[in-house]
Amino acid sequence: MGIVPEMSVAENLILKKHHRPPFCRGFLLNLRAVRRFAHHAIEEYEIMTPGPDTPAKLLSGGNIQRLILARELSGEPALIIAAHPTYGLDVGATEQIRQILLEQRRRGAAILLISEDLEELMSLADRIAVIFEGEIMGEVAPETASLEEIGLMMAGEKRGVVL
Amino acid sequence: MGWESWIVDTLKRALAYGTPLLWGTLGEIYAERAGVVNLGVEGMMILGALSAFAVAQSTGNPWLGILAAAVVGGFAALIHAFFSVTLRANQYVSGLALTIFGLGLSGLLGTSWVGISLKNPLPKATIPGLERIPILGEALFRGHSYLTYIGIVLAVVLWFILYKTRWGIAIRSVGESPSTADAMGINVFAVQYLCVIFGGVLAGGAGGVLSVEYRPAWTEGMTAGMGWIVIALTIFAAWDPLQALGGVVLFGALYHLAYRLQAWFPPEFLKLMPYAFAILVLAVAGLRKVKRGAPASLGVPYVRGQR
Amino acid sequence: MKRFGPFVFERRLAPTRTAILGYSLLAIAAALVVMSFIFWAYGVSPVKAYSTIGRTTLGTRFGLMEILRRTIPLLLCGVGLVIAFRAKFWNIGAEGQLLAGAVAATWVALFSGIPAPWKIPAMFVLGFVAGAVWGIIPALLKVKLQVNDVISTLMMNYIMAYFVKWLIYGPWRGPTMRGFAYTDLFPRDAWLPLIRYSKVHWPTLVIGIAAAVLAALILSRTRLGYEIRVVGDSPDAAHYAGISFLGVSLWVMLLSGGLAGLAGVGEVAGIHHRLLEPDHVSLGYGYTAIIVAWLARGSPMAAIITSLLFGLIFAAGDEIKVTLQMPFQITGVFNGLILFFLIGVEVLLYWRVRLVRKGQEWAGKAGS
Repeated sequence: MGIVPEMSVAENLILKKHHRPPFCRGFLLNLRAVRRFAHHAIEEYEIMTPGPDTPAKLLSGGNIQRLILARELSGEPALIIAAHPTYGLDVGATEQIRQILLEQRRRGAAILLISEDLEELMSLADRIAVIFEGEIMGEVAPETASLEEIGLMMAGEKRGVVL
Repeated sequence: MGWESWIVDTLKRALAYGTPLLWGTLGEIYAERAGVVNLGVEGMMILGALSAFAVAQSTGNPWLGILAAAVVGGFAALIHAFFSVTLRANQYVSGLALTIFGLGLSGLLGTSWVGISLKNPLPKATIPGLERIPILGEALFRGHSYLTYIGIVLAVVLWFILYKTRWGIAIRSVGESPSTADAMGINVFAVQYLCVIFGGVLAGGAGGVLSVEYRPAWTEGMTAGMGWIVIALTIFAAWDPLQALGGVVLFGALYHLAYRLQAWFPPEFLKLMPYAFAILVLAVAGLRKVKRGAPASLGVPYVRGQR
Repeated sequence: MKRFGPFVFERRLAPTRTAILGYSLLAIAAALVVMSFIFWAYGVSPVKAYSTIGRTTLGTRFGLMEILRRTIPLLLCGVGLVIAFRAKFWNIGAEGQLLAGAVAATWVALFSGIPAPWKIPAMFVLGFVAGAVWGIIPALLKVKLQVNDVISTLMMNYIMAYFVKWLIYGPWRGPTMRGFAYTDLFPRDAWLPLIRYSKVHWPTLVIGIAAAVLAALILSRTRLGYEIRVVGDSPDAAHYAGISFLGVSLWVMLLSGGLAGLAGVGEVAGIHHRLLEPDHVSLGYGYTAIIVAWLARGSPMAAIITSLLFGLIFAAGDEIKVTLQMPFQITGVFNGLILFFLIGVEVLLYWRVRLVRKGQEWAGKAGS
């Protein structure tokens, strides 16, 4: 569900919304609305691109990730499932994406964050559930739990409240 | 006519008509099993047909004609291999280019051979012993061209190689996942080149079957879309040489049955039957969900170090 | 990145327009060079061949008009194929769709009884519909039964060709044509107007140019165009966005087949004025249009230029046949060569060559 590489940043940003107003009226695309939305999203999500008309494939990995986030989050979803959202990104991009997730949480979205980065989980999550071989080993709150405890559960030991 | 002789007759003609298709399909199966689609079958066949006829007519030896067709087909396939494997160009377009080029070149070079019938076409042969099997012996082993027997043997041998030998594993793994094959120490490049060239050898030979045996003469565009039917049969046979044999016989039988209806239909309708059957056969393959058996990396150029 | 002496080869993601144009010209030049060997092998001096072709096609009004006349079907089919290829629908069936249009036009002209002023518009409308129907069948087969589009569209060409043969040898054979396999001549009110002293049926040419403009607008400005491009570029993304493959395939083949159908109308109503053998109605325009579209690289407007180029090649083929006594098939050889060289240079498009001075090797390699 990534991007459409040959199409422009602006066109990628409206994917899935392309058939609804304000982007589409009848069978015509409203290019002005598409552009306006693109400028807005590029600014808000700090997508580094020469412009909204640049093909999406020319962006760097972090910026493609931001583009996808902008595309997905602009609809104010009630539930966000983020699987390894910062995997392979540099420090700056990682930090920015974490901020975006926190921002969405403040807005009231439920976020299911799937990650193997313990430091990330401890700093972002309200609750952490550990899965081992497809089974939930236990659920803890990051403020009270120790890394050791989580580590044991990751190794297959049942702890805490099991859902 | 009793039903026995009816079946014998149908099978016989199905095989005769199907021999060039069988050769071509077996070749395309190997190319596609190695992950390379070659839409140039029509072009390779027509070049094979012309070279087979020219050589057979000049030397008086039809076998030399078949050999020439195979060599020319192999070289034509080499062009496709260069573009699709080495340059990683779009395989569809490269194959189409080969077909357009082959049809054009054969038309250009073949003008002096038009309208001559071949001095000595390949003789028919009967396999002693096997011919005495009731019904099947008569249908499969008597009075066919040597090329038909070679085609049947090839189908069995190629099936054995593909499924029962290390070479077969190498070929199939290249078509499924070239990166894994590469990691296993298989030379992906070499396997793809060899399979595409082998496909061309058989496609060229298939053209030769047409011009020195089935219709021993040269006419421009004499393959008349057979190369495309080959590609349809490759899919229908689920990339399996033995199923190809079955598919070709079925296809030939359908064609022959249509031929028997000629008293009721205008000839143009009979002539369009093979093309309609090709679509029909693919629709059936779609219903059978044959595509699930397609080599996973079919048509995708392999770039080392990229997933 | 690779180095050869002072040259550095770098990969690039997006080729510039200049690079595309330059390499396309390079491909054509390479095909011309190989062709000169073929002329030479045929015993014709390549210099003489090219100068004859240049003089007779580009050098005279008659030659230019011949180019234009060949351009019309190539443009219509080519624009249609550009649309199909944008959605990665391999429509190799423009030839059959063109013939379907020709059949519909013939029916209107000879058998429909439609009154004169409406005849020509009705030919175009029904020609479009016939081509579209012939195009939609493979689209349905592809989406519903996974029937390979290359094979089905190609097979449909043969089926339509034999259908045309049946018509002209059977029920539609003209009683006044005494044994020839033609239909009767169309009545005058079904003839397309021509540019004077030429065979250029200008209404079809105008439709062709309008089709190119319209197709460009559809691709860039409409929801359909957007969805076509998503489906063609990234089927996964299209699936994710809930874009209907069936809908897109049907629309694409409706437009693609319909435009090819219009080309068929032009050929029978503008030039032959009757239905005749399929390979006389079209000299393989539907197949050559594949190259027209591929060279246009997804741009309907560029198809105007590329169809002119192949119009020139067809006109040259006629000249070669008449003046140099070589078979017309030489155009097929040339077309195949061009297509090979085009996909060959495509590889080059994604490499940039840079000249570097010593000590400067790594300049300009910033970021990732």
